[in-house]
Amino acid sequence: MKKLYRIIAVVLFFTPLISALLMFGICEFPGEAPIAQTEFKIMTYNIHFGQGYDDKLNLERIAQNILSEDPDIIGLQEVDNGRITTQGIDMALWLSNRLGMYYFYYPSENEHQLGCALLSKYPIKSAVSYLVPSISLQRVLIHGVVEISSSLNLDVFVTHLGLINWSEDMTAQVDFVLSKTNAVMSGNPKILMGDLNLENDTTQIQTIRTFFNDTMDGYDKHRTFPSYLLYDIPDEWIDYIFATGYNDVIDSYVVTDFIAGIDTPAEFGSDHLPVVTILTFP
Amino acid sequence: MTIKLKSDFSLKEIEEKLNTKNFIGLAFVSIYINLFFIQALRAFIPGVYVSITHVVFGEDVLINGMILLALIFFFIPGLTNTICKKVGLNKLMKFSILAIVIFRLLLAFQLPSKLETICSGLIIAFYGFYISTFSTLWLRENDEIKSNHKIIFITLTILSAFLIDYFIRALGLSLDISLLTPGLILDWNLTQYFWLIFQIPLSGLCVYLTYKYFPRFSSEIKPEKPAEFEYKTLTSLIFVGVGMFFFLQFSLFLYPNVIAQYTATSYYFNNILNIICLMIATCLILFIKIEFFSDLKFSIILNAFMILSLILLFFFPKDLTYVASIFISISLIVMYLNFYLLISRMMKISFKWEKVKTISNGFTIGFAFMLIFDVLHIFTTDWAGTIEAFKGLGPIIMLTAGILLTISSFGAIMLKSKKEESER
Repeated sequence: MKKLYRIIAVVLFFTPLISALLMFGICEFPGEAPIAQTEFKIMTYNIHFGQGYDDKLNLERIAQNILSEDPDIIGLQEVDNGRITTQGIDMALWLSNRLGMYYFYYPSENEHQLGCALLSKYPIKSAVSYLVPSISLQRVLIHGVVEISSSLNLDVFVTHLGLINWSEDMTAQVDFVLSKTNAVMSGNPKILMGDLNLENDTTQIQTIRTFFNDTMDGYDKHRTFPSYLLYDIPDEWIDYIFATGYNDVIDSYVVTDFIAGIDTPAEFGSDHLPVVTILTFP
Repeated sequence: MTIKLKSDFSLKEIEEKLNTKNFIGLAFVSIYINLFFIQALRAFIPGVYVSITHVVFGEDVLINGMILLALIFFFIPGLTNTICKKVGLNKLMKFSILAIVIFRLLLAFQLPSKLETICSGLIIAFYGFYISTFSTLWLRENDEIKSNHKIIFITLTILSAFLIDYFIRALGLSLDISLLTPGLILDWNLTQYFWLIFQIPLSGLCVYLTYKYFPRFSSEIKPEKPAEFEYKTLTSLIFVGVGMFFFLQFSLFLYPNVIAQYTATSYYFNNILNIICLMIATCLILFIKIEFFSDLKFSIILNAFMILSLILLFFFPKDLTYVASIFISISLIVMYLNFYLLISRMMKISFKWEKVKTISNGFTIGFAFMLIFDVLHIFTTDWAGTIEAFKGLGPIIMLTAGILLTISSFGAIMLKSKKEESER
């Protein structure tokens, strides 16, 4: 083989390894510290494994949906990692890099699939996760301590509860979540968010309200599911951000439009809509 | 010892026998067709899965139900021999390359999801045609290149495709940027067409090289050889092994992020390690004689290590972390070597059919087993909620697939054609 071809072949052979080393170097490079601020934007978003109503898996679209609000802390549900049905992608890793955030991911099945993720512009000081007692599909709860500053830490809980239709014991799941949130005695403000699969008038939500405030109280309660009215399925308001220990709720809303002037299923990255709340802390 | 181990395979020899331009044409087209197959397989299963979900939840049942029929694409390669008898091996091979290139190009245009699924399914079907016709034609071609060397070359092109796939996913941080957008531009409407920048030249080059420099094979189907019925069970086992290899790769081991998640280790560490292991496997196939890997005792040791690694990964991942991660990465080499043995054996035997039928049926049966295991594994995830019997069985299914791959590799070693037996 000609020398030139041999050199090209060797270079090509080593290219994947070099690219992997380069990506390691680039992605592990410390990011910029977030600017000090008084208001914090929190988002919860069930991303439906990156699949929208057009059935297309498109994580970039999810990233664009999130970036339209540019939140500081995000709780994600239906996040996948390495599953054949979602092209093997590590969604939490990819989104955290795309959005320039710290992340913690915890799966519910087979040690790597169907999980929740906590993403934050601020360092996640520590994180633990729990398997929520489940009759049908296994559910998880994440507890992360987000370090906003030396004087302010937030206890953030992210969960995705089961479905009543699948004979899930929702009371047991909510009680478990509350037992974990109430066990934290750090004195930090607490945020509990996620897709609870429970309507506002259910007894389980009323139980949560005895410990947390619903940040949407006093604001327009738009449906969070489905994101686009394509099929004949009922509107549901099942995604929540509860909080306690904060100063004020500046604003709370469900993000209903991502691209102004466009109204097609294609603009929605998921079958859920994200809920956003802006809070101030003492 | 060094002389005994060293393979007499040489790319230079193939290049000289084919001439440089034909050699480059052959290598380029083979590698990229294999890569397009890998990408199509990755896109196909999610497409079908989404349709199944819709059917179950009663949304657009008719349309989504029709998409389920796309699973038939896995079985179409079984018709290769019948089609060959009508149109000839050469024509089918060239047409398959062209079809794969066109459908892969269409995939890059971000078609509606249903069309995307059909396109990726068609690539899989045509890949079955391509791999069996190409292998048969080249192995039968009287070009003074040893058939063993041709098989090594074919295996190397498949491993090279896996290497390019790793490269693409390394750039995409676990995301295959040829199928999904990498997020470089601020508008996803534009970003989604990003891969066209690469796909159009790649497809054009593939077509150009196929018609200009891809070797022109002369041989057509020869009369059937005497049947070798006594090998029936073992031969089928080899086909199962090919399916298990694809299942294990696409459900877990092609993804360093999964190994990282299991073992609570760094994705970047696993990605680098997995690429190194694939490179080592490629070098082993390139430089070491196949007889060395075909030694049953040696294979038992290697496969025992692989099974041990799987057990460590599935049952003690959080205790062993980096140890489990390193073990499983090394056992990836064993998986690739097993695949080499299986492909090598599949291409050498003719069973009771013609060679083209053996290879195409081999891949079809392999795909069928891959599909069965995929379905079983999917039952352990989303559907574990409704089919509780499958809850938590994911690792067991993976381990079973690993054991089947091991057994079929032993089968490939034990199985010798009549010609090889007489040579011994």
